[in-house]
Amino acid sequence: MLKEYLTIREIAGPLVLVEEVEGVKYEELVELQLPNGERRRGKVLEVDGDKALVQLFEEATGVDVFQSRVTFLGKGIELGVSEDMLGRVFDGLGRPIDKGPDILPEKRVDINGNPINPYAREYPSEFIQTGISAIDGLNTCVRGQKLPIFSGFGLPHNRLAAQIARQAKVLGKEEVFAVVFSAMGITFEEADFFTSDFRQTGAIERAVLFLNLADDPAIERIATPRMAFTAAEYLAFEKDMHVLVILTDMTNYCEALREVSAARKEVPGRRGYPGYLYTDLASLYERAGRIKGKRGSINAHSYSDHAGGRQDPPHSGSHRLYHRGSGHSFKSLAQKRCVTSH
Amino acid sequence: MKQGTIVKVSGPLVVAEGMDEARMYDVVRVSEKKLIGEVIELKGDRASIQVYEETGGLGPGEPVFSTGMPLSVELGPGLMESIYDGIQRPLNVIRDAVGDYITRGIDVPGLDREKKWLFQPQVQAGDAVVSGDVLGIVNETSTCVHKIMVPYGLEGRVKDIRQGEFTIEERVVTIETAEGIKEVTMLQRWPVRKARPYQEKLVPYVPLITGQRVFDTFFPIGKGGTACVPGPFGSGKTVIQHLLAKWADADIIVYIGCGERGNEMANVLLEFPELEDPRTGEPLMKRTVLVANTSNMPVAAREASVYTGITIAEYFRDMGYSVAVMADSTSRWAEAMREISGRLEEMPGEEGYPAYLGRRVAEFYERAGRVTCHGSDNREGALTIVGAVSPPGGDLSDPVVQATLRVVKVFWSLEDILAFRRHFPAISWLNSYSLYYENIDDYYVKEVGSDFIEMRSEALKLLQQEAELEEIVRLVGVDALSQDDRLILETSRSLREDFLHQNAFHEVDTYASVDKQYKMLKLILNMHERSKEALERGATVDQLSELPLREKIARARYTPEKELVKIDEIFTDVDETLASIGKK
Repeated sequence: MLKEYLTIREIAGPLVLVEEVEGVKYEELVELQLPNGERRRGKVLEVDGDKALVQLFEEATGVDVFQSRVTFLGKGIELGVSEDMLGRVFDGLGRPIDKGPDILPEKRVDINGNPINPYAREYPSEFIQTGISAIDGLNTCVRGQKLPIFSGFGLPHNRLAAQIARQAKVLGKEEVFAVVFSAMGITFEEADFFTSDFRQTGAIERAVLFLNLADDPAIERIATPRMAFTAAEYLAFEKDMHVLVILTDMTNYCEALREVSAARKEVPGRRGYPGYLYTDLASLYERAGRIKGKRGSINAHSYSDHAGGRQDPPHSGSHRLYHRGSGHSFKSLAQKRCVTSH
Repeated sequence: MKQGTIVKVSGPLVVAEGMDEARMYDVVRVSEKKLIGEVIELKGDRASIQVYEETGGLGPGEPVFSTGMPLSVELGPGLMESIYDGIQRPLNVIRDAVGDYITRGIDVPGLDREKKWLFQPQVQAGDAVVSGDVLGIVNETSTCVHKIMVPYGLEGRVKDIRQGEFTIEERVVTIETAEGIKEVTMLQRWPVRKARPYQEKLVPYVPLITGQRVFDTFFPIGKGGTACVPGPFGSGKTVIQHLLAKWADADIIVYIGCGERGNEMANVLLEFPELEDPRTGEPLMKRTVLVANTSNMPVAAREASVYTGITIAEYFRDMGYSVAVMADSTSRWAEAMREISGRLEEMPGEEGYPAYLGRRVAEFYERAGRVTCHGSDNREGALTIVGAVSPPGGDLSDPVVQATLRVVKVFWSLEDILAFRRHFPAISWLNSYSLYYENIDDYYVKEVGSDFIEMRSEALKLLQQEAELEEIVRLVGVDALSQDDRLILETSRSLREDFLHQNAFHEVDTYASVDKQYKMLKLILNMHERSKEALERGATVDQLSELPLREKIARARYTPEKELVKIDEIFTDVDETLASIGKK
């Protein structure tokens, strides 16, 4: 029986401070029961003696100091994975939202994953044809690579993303392909564009969707891409599929990270973003790749908006990529220059 | 050893109580999982510990074990050809042990304990030895002779020395010292944050030949010098580091991939074993040590990785070798420092970086140098550092760049504009500099050609003039220029395209010996001089640029090293052809 605590002392933004706790572990999953019976989830951000700082994944609305109960679940955030996930739609925390049944997981995996040993990595060298001349000809994609696409307001990066997801293939090979789509803070219309596009082309059968829309809790977004990569790792390295992970929009993810950092009153790095932004993003993107001796691969395509086409710190400093907001002749690709980043 | 108890966990920072025996920078093992950490702050019996592995699942009450040792690297035969993570755990051994992912609490020694090495003594029983004296040698790889030295601080008379095959932990020598008899094995340890000692530091006077024309001819670095390559994303920093690692004429290369992308390290691992060392014909890997801490590996180990790398490099320097360290990228290292400093709630300096950023960067680069090593033979070793920095948005006012430029003497300015024009290596000839000219010019005069220095100045002057003329051309067009000025544009174009531009992926062009560089530069400048004379005789620039000679000069770069005579042939061809032009 897990202990329930009634010792919340402080609530600030998405952060809850619980006192007089015992045996709490860093990054442990937490469940909060509100006075009205509703349950919210969060994770431990810091433990200091008998004090635990909990970050909620959902809104703090309705959480109170005196009656809300806190339970520490004794495990990290996990995702139950199974091949049945293909064709399903989940929320940002991995719960089905397509009115289908719950997934019977083959196993449960910690969503943080472990770094791939650089020694075990296979160097990406298999050309992927996207059928988009500006990408194939000038900034070629290879399997196991990360491809960021920087966009600005009013540019149809969604169409591009869907087009890549639809057309990307390795020439001369018939292989099992899957798409993991992770939406962070995008609008319903954008999300709908992808789902209906996947439906029309039949790609939905081979897609796993994690949707955190603009009106969903922002803090939940921090877990969403990790859910996506966990599912992708399972499909790629255990089920031998070639997985394309689409992350959109990373700007919202970075902002959620900044929000938590600000609520914790951390010393900011550049432009208010926390100093560990680079490490955090790297721990996501680096989960893409190929492993020696495994047939599957993970490709990551991330999309982010850029106000005014300038290099924003989370993108330039952390994605290590380059964006040029110039106007060339191609209409849709003109303002998206994707530089391959192996 | 007494054990402490965790009271606080915040990311990679753990605070433990009951650590009254801990010393600063001691290595500790955190929790039953035995995660590796380092003490970075002490307050009473509370120690702040920077943990080199993921800390998820740790909580108050768990034990902390002290090892009583600072973070050290193991030095001895077996270093070559290794690929380590930031705290010297061999990645190949980790893979064999736990699979494709790096899990936590893996404890593997940096050097193979089982392997036997053939130890060949260089001294005899009864010889007096001091610290740094070579006791014996081990042929570690076909290109690297590993010298086993008397550990620092030992001095005395050799009592016994054994020849034969031993593991690194077996006694090979006993030394009778004033404090008693000491046993020496092939394995030594050295704390990474402390520079290894030497007798005397010297000024660099020999250039590190890299085979890259823009470096060797225009902005050379001395053996034992420091250089910095800053550059915006996508301008080819990493390619340059790889090129240097491949072609630099150092005996040993230590490549530190600090916060690099995993696929880049995979590329190094794929390429290096296949590439040939141009001097020995052996695979390059045989003289290379890789330290790879990719960006998704724990941040604290990233902070340690540059120290791990440089300590290994210093060890080989002490053997009397010329060692080159490539650190890619020190910005990632500085960011790791910033992250840890933030967790410690230290007052930040510029842009959130800790106030001691400049000091740490300077300390790191100061570990380079040409030195007289310890040992009675007074051998010389050199340690060269080439550090890449990746400032956000290519902004050179970034604190890391500024701190680096204050200490390094060579600046290779990578520019994205050049990269987009497909000029590689994208090193700006206008903004780069080298402060080693005075030190190493003598070498060039003696070894390469007496007019080398004048030629370099002339070429740099032409490129400078080109930049000025281009301003005018932009305003009034090329037709407004005099014939002389147009010739300057022609020649500097030739300098840029035929000399500075170098194709890293072309078999021949990727490496140019200094002789070839000298001949090529001379060829281009000779063309310039002869053309100038022709213009005086009444020829026009258009007439000159139609000559097939231009094509020949442009192709000179593809002349293999063994056929350099061909460049001389073009040289005479230039003299002859141009002598006949412009005559009435």
